[in-house]
Amino acid sequence: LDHYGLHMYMFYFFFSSRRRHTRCSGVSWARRCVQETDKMVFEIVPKIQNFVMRSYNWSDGSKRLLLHPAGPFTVFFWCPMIKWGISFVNVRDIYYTPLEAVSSKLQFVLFISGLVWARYAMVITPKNYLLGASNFLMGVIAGVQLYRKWRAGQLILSLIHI
Amino acid sequence: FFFLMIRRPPRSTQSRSSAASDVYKRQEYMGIIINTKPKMADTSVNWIMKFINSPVGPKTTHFWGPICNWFLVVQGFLERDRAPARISRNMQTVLVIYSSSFMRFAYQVKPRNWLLFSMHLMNVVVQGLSLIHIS
Repeated sequence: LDHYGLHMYMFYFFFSSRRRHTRCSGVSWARRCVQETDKMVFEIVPKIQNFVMRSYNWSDGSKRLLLHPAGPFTVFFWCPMIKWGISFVNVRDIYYTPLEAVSSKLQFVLFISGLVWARYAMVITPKNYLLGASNFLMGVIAGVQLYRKWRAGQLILSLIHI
Repeated sequence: FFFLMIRRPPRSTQSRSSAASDVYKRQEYMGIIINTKPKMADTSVNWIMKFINSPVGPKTTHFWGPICNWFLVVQGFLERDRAPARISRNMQTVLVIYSSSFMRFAYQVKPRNWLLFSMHLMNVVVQGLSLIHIS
């Protein structure tokens, strides 16, 4: 830039009508970041749902299940499914981990909370039988673990009892 | 100047002459109670009573379920010094996955349950730290 070129540049810059460093939205930039991330991530599932609904001529019953508000494309379905996973891992632990790795505190908490949630799943509206069943099973299996620990304790006591 | 005032004939005026004193007491007129200050809702309840009566308050199951679940976090904290051979890594992993998904559940469910959300967040932190410590 020669001397007058700089003058011309400054003139152009200061007197041109361009938007400079101004915000579009009325929220903070952090919230805008979170909004855009949410848009990217949480609109994937509706897109998958649209694709699935259009890819095949589903029957009325299937359509009703797939579009249910607690159906397979919502979090209200997959969270209880993951809760079943706790029961399955606990059952696996009965057979494949040593008894010392079983934490009686954890099993006690799972037992109590499983029974409480099983009762409350029947009391809430709408009644959630799947949630109640999964929690009840979790409580039962935790009870089995507690019984194992108690039995091992009884065996040890019987060994040291002279 | 006064002949410009429009003088209403007497029979069209109201019959009540207690208008001045009605300001000070509630009076019924044509079935409507007039001159009353609109009764404001009793906003003198403090935040404790508001919470107790809220849809996620102690009278509902949405409160006691998460309270039960908070003992998971307590257990994780109390057993942080347990020897690695005495901890079941499978259970801790499953609890981390379970809690991270239920954070989203607690956010989306109606009524929004921040107690459950915070519990699962702390559960992820506690169990995750324990897993990291073991490995």
